[in-house]
Amino acid sequence: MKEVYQVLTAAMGQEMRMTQIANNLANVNTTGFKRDGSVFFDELHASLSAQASADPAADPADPVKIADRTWPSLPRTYTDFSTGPLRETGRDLDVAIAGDGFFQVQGPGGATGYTRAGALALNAEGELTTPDGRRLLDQGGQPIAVDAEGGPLRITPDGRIFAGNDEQGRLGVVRFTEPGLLIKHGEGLLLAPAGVEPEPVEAPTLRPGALEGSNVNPIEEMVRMIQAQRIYETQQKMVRTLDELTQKRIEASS
Amino acid sequence: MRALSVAATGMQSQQLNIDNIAHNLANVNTGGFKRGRVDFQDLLYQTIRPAGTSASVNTEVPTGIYLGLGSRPAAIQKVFTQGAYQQTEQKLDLLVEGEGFFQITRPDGSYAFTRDGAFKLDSQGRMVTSNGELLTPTITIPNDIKVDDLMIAPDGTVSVIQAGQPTTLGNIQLARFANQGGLAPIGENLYVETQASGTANIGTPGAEGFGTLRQGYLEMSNVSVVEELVNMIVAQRAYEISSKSITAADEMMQVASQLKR
Repeated sequence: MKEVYQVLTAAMGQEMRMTQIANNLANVNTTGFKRDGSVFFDELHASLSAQASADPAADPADPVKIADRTWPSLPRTYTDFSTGPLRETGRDLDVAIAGDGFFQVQGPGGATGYTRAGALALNAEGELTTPDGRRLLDQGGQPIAVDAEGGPLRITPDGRIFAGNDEQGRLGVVRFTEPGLLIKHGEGLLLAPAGVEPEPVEAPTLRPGALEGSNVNPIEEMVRMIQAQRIYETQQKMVRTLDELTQKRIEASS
Repeated sequence: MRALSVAATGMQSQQLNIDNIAHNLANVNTGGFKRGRVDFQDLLYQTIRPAGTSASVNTEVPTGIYLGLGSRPAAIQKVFTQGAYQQTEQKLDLLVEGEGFFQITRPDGSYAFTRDGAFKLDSQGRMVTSNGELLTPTITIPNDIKVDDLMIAPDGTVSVIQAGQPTTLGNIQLARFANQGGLAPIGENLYVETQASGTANIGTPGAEGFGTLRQGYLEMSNVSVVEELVNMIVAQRAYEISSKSITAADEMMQVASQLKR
């Protein structure tokens, strides 16, 4: 009967994948969003073959053993960091990163968060923030206070902020050698796990007056959705077939 | 099935997006109107299995399993770009070229701020908005002066030529904010200051950072119909596509429920 549980695990994986696709599609219009994908592979392969080789009596040709070794996994999730489409907005405080890198913001619990969503705003203290009020940080990790008295704010392509002709500060842009290790926090933020350190980008290329759209491609997601749904259906059919086989076995032995 | 609620957050986000686009389009002809824009964010991620845990002997999960739970609107930002100019030839129509708001005294004595410079005169000759609220500081035009003779300079000086001599009747001033995006729109083309906007900084038009005035012009809405319609198509399709997630998740649940005959 273990086949039923194997199929069940695989079906749970498809269910999770479906949630992920729904999340990608729910964020098709989210600034700076990066789509998530999933990878499936066989889970217990390594441990069981280790066990089998430790046990000289084990017969590798035993079909049951081989079936045991490949147990389906829940999908591993990864984030696709490809750049989303840049679109012009004309707003002073919108800025997109062309190419590699992240803005640094004050994240939850004092941690530094990383984001590519550059729809900036100002708070009551005149500090640059994300739309939901998290402070942006400069290269030194300090909030960027802006005095807008001198004139309209302007961001230069290398990240410096001007009010009129007065330089007010500079946006901190950092990059990671392996952005795949970053953990999504939600609210547009990524957090770096312990041991993963960013390196500053000395000469970032920014696009003021533009925003980076979501990198979700709705067509690809629809294809994945159909896949997930059909695989799930097939898995349910397999459960039913296995059930019928068991029933026949019971009938035959009675 | 989490996919159902995840997709529902996507639909709710896009519904708000459409509501906002409808409001922008309804104000495509409103003088001094500034369009709003919804900024979206992804919701929290559920950690099914953290990265770095052990998967089996001698292996470590490099990335873990994190499931996103949908999207939410983070803010509706007012986009304070300059609207188009409309020439009106009305002497009391004013346009602010650059940053700055006219300060208005509301009936309850509090201040409000507007970019809509279509002023009129009340029975006492004071400059008021179309709703009769006083421009502050008050500019009074004496009864014996024809409105057509009024001159309003780019720096806000209101003057008239009397017996060959220019006479100054008052100075129009503008208000600027450390963070104009933090102003709260209260309708009727008015904004009020909030903690986020900071207090109003009153100054002479044309001074450092302040815009200048143009007499005989009005600032139109900064809504671009084409842009809003494109946004509407995107929002509608995004809504539709999240509804497909719901259908698919529903069908999957149906299949599962048919397992047991």
